[in-house]
Amino acid sequence: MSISCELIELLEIVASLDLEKKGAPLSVIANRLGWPVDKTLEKLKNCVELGFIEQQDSLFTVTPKGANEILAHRAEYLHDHFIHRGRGRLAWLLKRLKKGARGEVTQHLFARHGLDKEASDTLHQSLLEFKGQVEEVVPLTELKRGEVGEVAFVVAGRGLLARLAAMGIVPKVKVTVVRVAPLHGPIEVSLRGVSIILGYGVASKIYVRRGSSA
Amino acid sequence: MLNTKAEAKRITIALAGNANVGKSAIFNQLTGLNQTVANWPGKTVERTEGTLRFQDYTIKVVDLPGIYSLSTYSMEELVTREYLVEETPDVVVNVVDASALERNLYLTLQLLEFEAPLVIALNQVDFAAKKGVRIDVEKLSELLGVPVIPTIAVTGSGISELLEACVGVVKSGRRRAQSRLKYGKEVEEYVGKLSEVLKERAPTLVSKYSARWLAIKLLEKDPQVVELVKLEGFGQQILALAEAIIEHLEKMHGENSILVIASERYSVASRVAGEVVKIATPPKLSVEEKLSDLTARGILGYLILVTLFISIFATIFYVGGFFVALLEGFFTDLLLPAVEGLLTATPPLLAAFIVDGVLGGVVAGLTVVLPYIVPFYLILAVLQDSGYLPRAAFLMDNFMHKIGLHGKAFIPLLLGYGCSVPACISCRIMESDRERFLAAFVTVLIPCAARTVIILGLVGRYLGLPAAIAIYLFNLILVFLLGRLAYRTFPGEPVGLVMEMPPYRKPLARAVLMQTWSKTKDFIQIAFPIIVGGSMALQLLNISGLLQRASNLLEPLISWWLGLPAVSSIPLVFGVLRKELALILLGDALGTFDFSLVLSPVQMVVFTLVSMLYIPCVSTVAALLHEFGLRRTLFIVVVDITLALLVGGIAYRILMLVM
Repeated sequence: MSISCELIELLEIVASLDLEKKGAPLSVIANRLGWPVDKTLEKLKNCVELGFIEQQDSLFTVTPKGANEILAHRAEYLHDHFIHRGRGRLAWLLKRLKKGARGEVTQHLFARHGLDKEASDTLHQSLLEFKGQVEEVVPLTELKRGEVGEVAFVVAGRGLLARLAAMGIVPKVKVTVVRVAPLHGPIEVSLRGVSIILGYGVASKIYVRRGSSA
Repeated sequence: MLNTKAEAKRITIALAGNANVGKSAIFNQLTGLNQTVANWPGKTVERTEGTLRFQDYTIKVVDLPGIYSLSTYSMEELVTREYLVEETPDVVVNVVDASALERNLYLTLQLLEFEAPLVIALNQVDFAAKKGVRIDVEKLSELLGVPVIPTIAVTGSGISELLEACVGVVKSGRRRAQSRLKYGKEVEEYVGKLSEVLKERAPTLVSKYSARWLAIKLLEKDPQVVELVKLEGFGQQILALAEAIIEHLEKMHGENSILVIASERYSVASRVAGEVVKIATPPKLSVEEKLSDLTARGILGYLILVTLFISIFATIFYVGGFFVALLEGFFTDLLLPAVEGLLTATPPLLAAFIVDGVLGGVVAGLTVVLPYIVPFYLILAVLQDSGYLPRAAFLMDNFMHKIGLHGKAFIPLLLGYGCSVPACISCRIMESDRERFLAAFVTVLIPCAARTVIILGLVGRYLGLPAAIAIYLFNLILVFLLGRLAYRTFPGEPVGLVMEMPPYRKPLARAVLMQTWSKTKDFIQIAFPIIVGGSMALQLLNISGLLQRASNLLEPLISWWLGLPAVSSIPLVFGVLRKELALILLGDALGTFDFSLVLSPVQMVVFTLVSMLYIPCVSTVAALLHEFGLRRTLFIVVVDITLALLVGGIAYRILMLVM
């Protein structure tokens, strides 16, 4: 059973509005989604029925079950679009994630995509805590020359995390792509006034929000 | 610790900073030629030291490796940390690139956490000014709470002020710098709590390290600090507290605590930079940037790369060849006869031993290796100082990944065409031990200048240039295949390329010459004793007749399996000393230097292949021993001999069918 894109979008918006764990009011949710209020309410009720959202007074919060749904959706999206490039075993992954079988997912990511346990833990943590919609992020390798991206999260073990952090690559920093070598070669980015070369493998582990302004 | 009066005038300054900030230039300005290069104990990281006199102080200056962080993820970082902890320098000079202040402050903040007695050398202020960056030095000093001295290392401006500031720190007697800079309230609260507990429960540890630093490192899950704390009586308790805090931090921020702390540092760094940096003119595309764009982009970049390296090889080949001829003329025509003349009274065996063994070794080193190595080092220093090498690594990363290494490994491979010895040493630039070894493994297979002599002198001369080029291509394929094989065989994860791209700079003659000199000195110290020793040992074997017996044993292998004339076993054995000696001795053994009379084309190819691949020469073995120890050196030697015999034998059989 898979839920619709709209419900996922709704869940993600509620989760991102719900930073203080106090809940988000209907009007704000509708505003952020750009949906009419009655449609929003209908979908919210839908989610409540499914057990993804809780309503207390006029405020809505995402339940743990809903959070798991978001996680599953995000993992599926990244897996299919960037990690596995559509050759996906997506149904399989989704089913496992819903059952909460993280061990097996970790195994899949390790065996098929070379992500070690630490890196896939980071992925889970990042996906779980990511504020906003997963469709907003792309790997750094997707950016073209001259494009700017804001680092969202890095899927790597602590060794690489620390090495990148030392070079200035931490969440929320803006990077500009200066040069891209052909045939999956390295990428040169500039940030904090310095130029850094990243191998393709490293760059593909850095997820960024596409930005427009330099 | 109380110093006696005489000792009080001796102080130690350590230079710390990012790579490419002009740290070595400052070091050179401070110490001149008065410096020694050695290794850090047990590590293949260079340790450069020098001394100078200033006022009535004798100052020892230690140039620490270029690092970006005080964590434990590279050997350079480990070395720096160990040094700061164990040898407690009187002053730590943090060299900071004024044109990239924000990123450089990341390390500065960590040195402040460490409470090192800090002086900042704000270097390359001229370059920064050209980029339109002006820095309020007084404000920076006030914010950081430590002296800040603007310097231009290449001209020596600011150096005496820097020394003045260092002496000032020593006179003030402050062993630990205290900074007023604070991170976010929440993180500071936790750091404060954790350091209180550390002070109370682990007083011995806190007497050695700053409590604040320990606390922050615990929150960063630093494996070394965790181990240190574990050893304490209340270690488990402290670690449990740290883990609870980490969990809370990660929950709040939604990211790894390593990143939480790193982000805190960057937010302080960018705030400080924002307050002190004034951008005067908007930077426009400079000549350097245009050049940078041309040389690291697309087909043109590769064309420039190839052209540049071909011309470099040609230069080294001709310049080196010229000096080889010159020196050889001097030694064989003048010196050796003179020595032989002096030795007429000594027993002939001893004389032969002295002439061929001792002198032969020295001559081999001087005439073959140095003439190629010195120009090579010179050109390398120019490439390094100008900032071209990272661009080459950028272009080659793709290809190098196919053999499990990244772009940086291109540099040792490239050096391998000149001489395997500096190539092996340059494998140090790789990040992990595994990568270093993999790079060295393929590097020794690259035909060096001496092997080029055989390839060109035998195959090139008698079978034509296309055949020689085919040998080079075959070698590249072999390197590629073996690299892949080794990459799959050796356990461990490949490390991705993360490297700073420094801007282009004009290399300075003085710096280039100093680098060349110190590297050449280093090479002589490592390789010469072994070249001479090896040559002596070989002569002993020769005189005692053991060599003859060994070559008799080898004969079936040589003539049956490789199809070479039986007499070529001794030249091949001697080729270990210096590879092109194999060709000279082969001529001697066959009684003619017109090889077309005595060797078939197949034999020429087989001889060339075998001498190209089998055991690296004595000097290379020396370098390998120095870098990788006995076990791994033996591994390379055994693999290479096996490979040479395999390739030689198979080539013989296949070529006999074809030719």
